[in-house]
Amino acid sequence: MIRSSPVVFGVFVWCALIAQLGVGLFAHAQSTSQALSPDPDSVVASLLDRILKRGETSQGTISMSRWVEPTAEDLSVIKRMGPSAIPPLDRSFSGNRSFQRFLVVRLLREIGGPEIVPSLRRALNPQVPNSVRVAALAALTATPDDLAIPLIKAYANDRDPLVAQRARDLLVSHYNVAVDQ
Amino acid sequence: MKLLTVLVSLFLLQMTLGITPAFGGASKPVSLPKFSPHTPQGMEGGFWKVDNDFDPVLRLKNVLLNQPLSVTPILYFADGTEYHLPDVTLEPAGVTQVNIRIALQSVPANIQGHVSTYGMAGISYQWSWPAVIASIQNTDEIASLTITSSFRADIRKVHAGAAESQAHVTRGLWWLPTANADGYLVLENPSLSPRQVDVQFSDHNGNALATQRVSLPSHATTLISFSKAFGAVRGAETTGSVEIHYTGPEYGVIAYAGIEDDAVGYSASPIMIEDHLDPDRPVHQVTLSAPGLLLGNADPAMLFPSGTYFRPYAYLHNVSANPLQVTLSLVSPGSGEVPQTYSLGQVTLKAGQTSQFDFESRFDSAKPLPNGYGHLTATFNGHDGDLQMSTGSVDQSQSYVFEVNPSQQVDSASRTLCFWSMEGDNDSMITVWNYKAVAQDLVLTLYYSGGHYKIPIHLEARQSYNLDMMSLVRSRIPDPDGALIPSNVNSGSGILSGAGGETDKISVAIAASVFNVRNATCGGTCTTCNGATEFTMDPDSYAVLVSGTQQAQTQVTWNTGSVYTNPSGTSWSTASSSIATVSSVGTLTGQAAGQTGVSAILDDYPVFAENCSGDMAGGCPDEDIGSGGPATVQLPAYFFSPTAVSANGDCAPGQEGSFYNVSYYVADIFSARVSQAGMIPEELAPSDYTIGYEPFATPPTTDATGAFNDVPVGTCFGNVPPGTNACAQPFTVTYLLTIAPTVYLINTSTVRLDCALGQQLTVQGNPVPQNKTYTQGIIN
Repeated sequence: MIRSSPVVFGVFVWCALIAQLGVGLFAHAQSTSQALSPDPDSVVASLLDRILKRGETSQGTISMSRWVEPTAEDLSVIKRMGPSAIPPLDRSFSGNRSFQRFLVVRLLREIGGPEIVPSLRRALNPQVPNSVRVAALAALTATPDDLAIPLIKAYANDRDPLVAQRARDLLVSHYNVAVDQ
Repeated sequence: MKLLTVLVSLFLLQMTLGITPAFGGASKPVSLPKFSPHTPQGMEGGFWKVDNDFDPVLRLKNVLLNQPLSVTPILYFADGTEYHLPDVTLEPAGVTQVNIRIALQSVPANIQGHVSTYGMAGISYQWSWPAVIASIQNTDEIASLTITSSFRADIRKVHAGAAESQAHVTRGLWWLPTANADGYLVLENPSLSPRQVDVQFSDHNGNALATQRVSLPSHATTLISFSKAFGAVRGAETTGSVEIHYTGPEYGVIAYAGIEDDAVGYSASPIMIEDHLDPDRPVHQVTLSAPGLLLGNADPAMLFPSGTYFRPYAYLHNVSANPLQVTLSLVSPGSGEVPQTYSLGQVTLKAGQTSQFDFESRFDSAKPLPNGYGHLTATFNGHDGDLQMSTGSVDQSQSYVFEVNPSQQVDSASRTLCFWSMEGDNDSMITVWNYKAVAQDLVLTLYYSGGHYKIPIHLEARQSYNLDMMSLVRSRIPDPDGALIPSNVNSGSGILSGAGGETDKISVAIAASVFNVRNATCGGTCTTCNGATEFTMDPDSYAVLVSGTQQAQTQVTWNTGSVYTNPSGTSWSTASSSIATVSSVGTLTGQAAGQTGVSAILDDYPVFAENCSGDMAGGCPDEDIGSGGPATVQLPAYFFSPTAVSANGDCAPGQEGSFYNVSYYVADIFSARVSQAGMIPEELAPSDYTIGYEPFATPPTTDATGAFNDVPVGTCFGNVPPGTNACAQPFTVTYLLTIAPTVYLINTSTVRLDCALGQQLTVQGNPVPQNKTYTQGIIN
């Protein structure tokens, strides 16, 4: 039981501070690098790292990751990049950090438009965790209705009850589309 | 003109539906709620007779301009036995006729024993409001007699329960114009219970001539002949009044009358008027108008026998308890541009007195009766309904009787003329008189099967328009839109409106009749008052946020089926302006959390009168009509979580964790749901990297029901020793809600305890019953 140890908690706080300092230094370096070479892959990679790191901590040997929302500043970076960020985000979808796929879908939603639909299709694959899949359904609301509605309808009877329910909720409440019970 | 009948009936409808508009003030507006098109409707009444050579015809008029109706006519024999006739279909704006004598030839054997020579009738159909006007014309072509009557009892009221019962009085007058003439009073009971009816016939001074008490079973009809009722007194009195008392629903007993002298072919149908007027109605100058009285030498174009000469007649009855001084005048179109007014002097009527006006003494060789036609007016200071007047014209043979039902000079909206006919050698005459001292522009639209024909009419002050249908059809003059009435069309109806449409106010007197010169019959046809039948607010309830706005709109539906959105003149108000205000165009703005009412009122708005206007003591009714609904002003206060379901987190390979998808909706300080899309829930979770509150929902805004989801809620753990559990420090998340540009503080906070093998989520800070704790798996 780690939670009851004040020593471990102190280490946790110290690690967090170090991590914050590291991110700050990295962000500075990244900004210089962007000015020299705004390579979408490296911008996206550093953005993903920056965001995911905020939820990553450890307690002794145990590592912990929780989902922490991107800030408005993070989102403005991806918005500025627009569709040019889609290929690097697509490539990042196969990464192996906790919440990385969820974050990719979250950032795709910020870009929006028809160009993100193929990426969201991939995120809706039944092999993907349902938390990511429901985020992909939600991200479809940022795409044109004629693309989104048929795709969401296709998941209204998904084998995963959470995915099916969220698909139905979106159809009814967002698109005013009746769904068969 | 405030008609108590309309107010009471509509109030009852409102009570039936449990609608309680949020109106203030002493005078409560009338509610006109919306009903389903499948609502059973029906009218009952009318008087048919098949004695001698009478041939009764039931006439039905659909007032809806764009909707056909299927109507079931029903005949009731004198003992109340009912006989359903085959359904008839009424085209939009259409008319149809049912020959009752022919229908009686098919009475089933099981009710043959109940067949009588007279009775009442009814119609039933489905629509949102009464949309069919029905009347019966009994014509005896051989004896030159015509008796007309219109249906009056609305089944929604007359078939209602005992709670609708109250004392009613119906008044009318009678006259016996020839030595052989006799009359009869018809009493009908359209209600579902037996009625006891007290009848008093009075002489010209208002003194009782005869009284009768009659018991009427449901849907029974009885006929009291004047000669039997008056006994030996008959002959001494030639005019008088009749008063009928009963207890029951409105029009629980309907009275009609007929006067006939088959030796000369004289017939008339005195109007019996049930009193629905407000007892507190004010005293003012009242003028009754009877337009289109035939006068003097008959118009050769109308093919009357040579030498036919018409004299006007008028019987006046003072219904009130006070003397009435009545000033009469006759307005004739004259030969010039300016109508000529003939002052006929004054008559004084004692309380209860009935008198025949002496036209003869007003005209002589020096001041001859004008030829053609004219409009009779009777003016007095008193209450609406104090004076009853029966008037018309009769030729020297007493065979041609053209009755004209007077009506009060009151502005109205458009009017429906229920029937015109050119069947066989019938013809129809429509007279419109502008009684005002200013010019008016009108449109008379004639409806017939397959089309309509418009006649623009410009009437200078006190000018009139006289339409002979036969002449119009034969003229082959197209209307402004190029329409022609096809030569095979022989019946139809009409609407008289202002040049601006059916809602325009007009100030005219109208008379319409179907006549036959060959057999010397003439029957007046019904005209009704068009107006609102529904007044609704959309939506019918409101929920706005503090500082938020919501647009309301009203819809008023007319009896013709026309719908007007946000009619001009709508005044909006809220019961509490500290909670919500509403602009002059219906924009509701939340001021402070709470509940209030919002209402919309149209002052003095025309309402549909389902009865013929001649059957009403006042003119066309208008009312303050209103619609209202509750308004809730909401202040978002907390996030209520109805459910949390297990979800799969997105943990890296080798990591594990427990996750929830947590559903929330936004609730206000009264624990009511804030059903609004686009609200942005934001969270502040302890992290050394986040700067402040950030949107966190998936998707980031609420849906239309105010709902949102938080996913994934949980933590991934790596390197957890096998067989052990690991938990992170519990932490608290706090929330805001942004509804641009306003940010609301949210009372809710969540406490998370995330472990590798389980988790616990506590939703707190809400009203106690609204807090939740979700636990899954193993927590240490």
